[in-house]
Amino acid sequence: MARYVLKRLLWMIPIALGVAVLVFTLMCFCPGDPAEIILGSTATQENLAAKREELGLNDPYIIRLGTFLSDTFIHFDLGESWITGASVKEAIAERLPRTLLLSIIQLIISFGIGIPLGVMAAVNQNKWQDNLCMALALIGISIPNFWLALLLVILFSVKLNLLPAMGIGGIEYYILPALAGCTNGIAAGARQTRSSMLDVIRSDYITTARAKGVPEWQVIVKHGLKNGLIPIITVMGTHFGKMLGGTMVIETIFAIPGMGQYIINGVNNRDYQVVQVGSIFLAIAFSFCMLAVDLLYAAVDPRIRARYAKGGKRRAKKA
Amino acid sequence: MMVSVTNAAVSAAPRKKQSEFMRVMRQMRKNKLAMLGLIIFIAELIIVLLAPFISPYDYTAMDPIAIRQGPSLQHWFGTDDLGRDIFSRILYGGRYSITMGLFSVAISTTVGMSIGAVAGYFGGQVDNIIMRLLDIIQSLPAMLLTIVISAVLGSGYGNTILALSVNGLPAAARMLRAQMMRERDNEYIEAAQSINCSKFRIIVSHLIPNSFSPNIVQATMGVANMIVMAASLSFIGLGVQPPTPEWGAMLSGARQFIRQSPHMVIFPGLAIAITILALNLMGDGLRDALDPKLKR
Amino acid sequence: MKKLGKKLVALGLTLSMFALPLAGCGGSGDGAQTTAAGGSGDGGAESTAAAEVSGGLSSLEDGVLDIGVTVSWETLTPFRSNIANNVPFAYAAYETLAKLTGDKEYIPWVAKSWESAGDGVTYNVEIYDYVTDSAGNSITANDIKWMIDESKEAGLKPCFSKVDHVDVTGDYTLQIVMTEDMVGAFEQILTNTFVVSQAAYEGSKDQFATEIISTSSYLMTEFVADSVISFEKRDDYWQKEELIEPQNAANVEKLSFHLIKEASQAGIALETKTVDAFVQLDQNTATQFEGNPDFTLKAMSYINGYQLYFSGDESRIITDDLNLRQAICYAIDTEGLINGVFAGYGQKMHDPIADTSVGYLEKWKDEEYYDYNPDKARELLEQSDYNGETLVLLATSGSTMQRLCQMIQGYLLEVGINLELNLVDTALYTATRLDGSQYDMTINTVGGDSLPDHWSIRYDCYAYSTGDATGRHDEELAELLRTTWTQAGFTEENIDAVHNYLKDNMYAYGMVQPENIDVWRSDLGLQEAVVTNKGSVNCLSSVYGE
Repeated sequence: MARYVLKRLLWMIPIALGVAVLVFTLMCFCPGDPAEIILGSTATQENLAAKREELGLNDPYIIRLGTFLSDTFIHFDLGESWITGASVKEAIAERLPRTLLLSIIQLIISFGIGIPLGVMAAVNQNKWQDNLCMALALIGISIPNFWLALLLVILFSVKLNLLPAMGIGGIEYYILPALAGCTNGIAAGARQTRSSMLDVIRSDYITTARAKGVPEWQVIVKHGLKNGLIPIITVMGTHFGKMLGGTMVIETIFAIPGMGQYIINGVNNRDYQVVQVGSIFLAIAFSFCMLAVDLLYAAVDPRIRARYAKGGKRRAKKA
Repeated sequence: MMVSVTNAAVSAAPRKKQSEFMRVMRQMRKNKLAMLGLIIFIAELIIVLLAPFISPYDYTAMDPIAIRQGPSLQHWFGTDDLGRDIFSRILYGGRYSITMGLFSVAISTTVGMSIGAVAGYFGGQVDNIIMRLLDIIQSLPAMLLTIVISAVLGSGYGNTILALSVNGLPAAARMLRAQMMRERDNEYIEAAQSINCSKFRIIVSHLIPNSFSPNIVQATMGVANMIVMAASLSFIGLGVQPPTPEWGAMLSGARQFIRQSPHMVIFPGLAIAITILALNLMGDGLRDALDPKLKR
Repeated sequence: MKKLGKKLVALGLTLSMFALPLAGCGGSGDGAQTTAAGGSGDGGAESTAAAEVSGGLSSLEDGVLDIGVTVSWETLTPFRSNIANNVPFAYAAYETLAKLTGDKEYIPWVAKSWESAGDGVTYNVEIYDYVTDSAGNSITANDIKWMIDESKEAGLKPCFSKVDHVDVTGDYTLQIVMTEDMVGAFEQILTNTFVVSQAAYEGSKDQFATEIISTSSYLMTEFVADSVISFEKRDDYWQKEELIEPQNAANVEKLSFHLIKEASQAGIALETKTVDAFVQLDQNTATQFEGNPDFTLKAMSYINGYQLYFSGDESRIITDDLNLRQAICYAIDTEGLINGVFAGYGQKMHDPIADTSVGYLEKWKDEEYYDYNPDKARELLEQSDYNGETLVLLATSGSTMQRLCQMIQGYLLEVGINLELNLVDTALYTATRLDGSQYDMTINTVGGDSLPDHWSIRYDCYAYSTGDATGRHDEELAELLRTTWTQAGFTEENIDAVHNYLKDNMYAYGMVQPENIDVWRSDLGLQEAVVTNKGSVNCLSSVYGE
């Protein structure tokens, strides 16, 4: 098991490198001169030339890429933002937790609501409860989240005066942003739970359990849900990635200084260092999340655990 | 002898596809919700196609006197901050929003499937390399990748479609590949190989037609996803150029008036939501129809 | 049949989902106002009672004045121009040698006095001899020289490129020599030189990116990049009480600036009392507070106007076609723009420069300046060489600019001119704006403390490698500018000549000079608002309460 985890952790290195190269290359094609943006609209030609030289923009692509990769991955020097001069490492240390917190709360809400909805739908298949839950899920998918964000702010902050509408602070500041961003997750969770539960609920061991006189809720949770969990976890994993990206919009609306805003500002300002390093960190965060998903598989399914222990490839979810 | 085997191998696939298609359609027709989705979507397509005949006003025509008016008989959905008729703009906007969704999915599915087909058929090192590259693309949040590509390409209709299509690519490739892995070991492929069918031909006329049904479901849902993504891009300030009435652009341009003139925000949002709802209903229906477990 | 039930439930829910906000917001036009008005009854009563007790900002629940702002900040470094120019908290963060007030007067701050040596380029400056920063470092002439030299080297504030060199002539006196005799250039140095101790700066871990040690009367207590910055009044401020100018007074104990970029959220922040005041609120959002007794609106002329610059590059048809340029000006209804884009908060311009700039002649306001006249536009278009080509308008992609450009597109179409909008992000705009071959016209909002400041950026064909800011090479105009911007040549007659030259040749059309709107909670009792030279309220120095 430890070997498997180690292998997965090592695999993150080429992923991070690949992301670095990919984003670096994309930013190279980005129109706009960083020197001009840094110096402002009235900079003199000499100043511009000097700034370009200082940033190394005159060097050939391959040298710049090499410098960037060696600084980042060998010297662990994440550099400074070109625009602000502030350390990128510190900025990320400040911002990444906010974005992760937001995404995790979204995930918790998504599945805290989604799974019970799905179970309710499956247990009452084709009754009104089922219809209601699935209708809710469909609506969840259909609403653009920034639109919902605006409506939520009006309802909960302006009309009811219950929750703060923007900014950062205690956990209450994350509730509205998380609600706005998690409708897709709730819907996906509910739909997946329903279909896995339906698969499981007809199987023999459930019937056996019922025949043995096990209480109905125990049948559902212990026997049904537990065995239907793997596809639900997969959905959870993919949605975490979506949420990490979706926070870009949510953070803008709710004035949360997280990674999304940081990278968007970086793109707008052609602050290459910020965009590159920021993307690498998001990718690593995502990879960790995927690893967590795979470990969760192992936790719920002894067969998968055995396969990991043997050092087998992770193909369980792709099948 | 040789010839007849070839014919059998080649014609087997299309015939199977044909019957598969009919079966799926039958299954679909039984599913009322899916049909509802299909009807809504087709109705939308017809409406936006006929936009020039239906829309009461020119979608760029401004009326400085009628600024931000609520819904009325003259302006069914009210007017926007420049006095333009929102109903007309939504009709025309559908052309942009829906086609952006369709085209970007078409591109990502086609390219993604080609990549997946190559990986799935050849397997081994080719497969390994392609999959690792896709891993890299997929480890970036889709929105981030789209924003960066959008910044590289610049704004505008075509560029936005390209930027959007990149993020659907890995998923399409993976899905087809997984499906092909299963199909690859079937006898008819062996038969085709045994008669020296070219690899390209095997991929195109045997493997893909027999493997792509999950991709159809994915594509249907993908269109919905892309429409939302395009709207988010407009929100960030990328996306189409004004005065193009893309729904997301309308929404993001109107959002600062949400307190004073909520109708400006409600109607474009509604248009997006209904389209996505319809596409998801269709996708659900398709998935059920294609699900082998439900085959009866 | 059960599926049908599902369908109906789904449909019903969908509809009710959408009806909910509709109903909720549909009433909000008047609904919001009634709730707000209802609230004002208690709020108002409370505040008067509180004001009677202690006066001043007593209505603040937590003693902190929370101010919403729209300009983002990511760094506090004293070397960046955007910090110096646009951020409302700049006055709390740093002090400068002198300050330009809202009345266009230069008042001393860290500098005690300054005088010209008479040759137009040499100036002597004396600073107070007891200036100390919050860490206890005393400020000498060497610190000032260091700051000017560093600013010049960093190149981040363009005005410093006009400094030739600085000599320290005593512990607290220095001589600044400019490169050329240009009106306003030295004063810009006075107002842009942040006073910082060299030792403190060099001891800082990140060159003041996230911390500040300055001479300001406020101490920064909290800084979250892109979110919040808070200040607290210092007890040990260096200046003697009786020498503090009212415009530099520190009348607020504690204050926080909150970055809120979303216009819709800005209004909501005020409504929900997340902030007590909002500086530079979007005009359209501000309209929701009009006539609401809970809030006080203060509209002040913005220092920058929206100007339409015509390309000067030879490859564009517009460059040699004066008739076409004039037709475009006549076709644009500036009053319509003010109402449509700025919710009525703005005034028609009579020159590309805003009327707040030093050197602006009031008589221009009585002149005819391409007033809206579509017939005349069509007539001029007849005489021009224009044959239905599509012209390109380059601008940035902010929401105000988007609306402005779309309206202009509409006006031009009305007289038969086809216009394509090319709205790009700021980075791309910065990269293309000087290249006149990329556009026929571009919209910019270039201000300037004084006319020469503005002119030298825009119309001086020696300023950039491509010519002037639109790629034009008009040496006659450059000559005219150069004779006008010296101290001796800065006469009304010469200024008027430049104005007329620009107007007759129509290189740049001043459209709208919008108003900044600051919205205050009425119960703060803003008495005497100190207005900054940027046209907004200086929250620190204003007087509150009874």
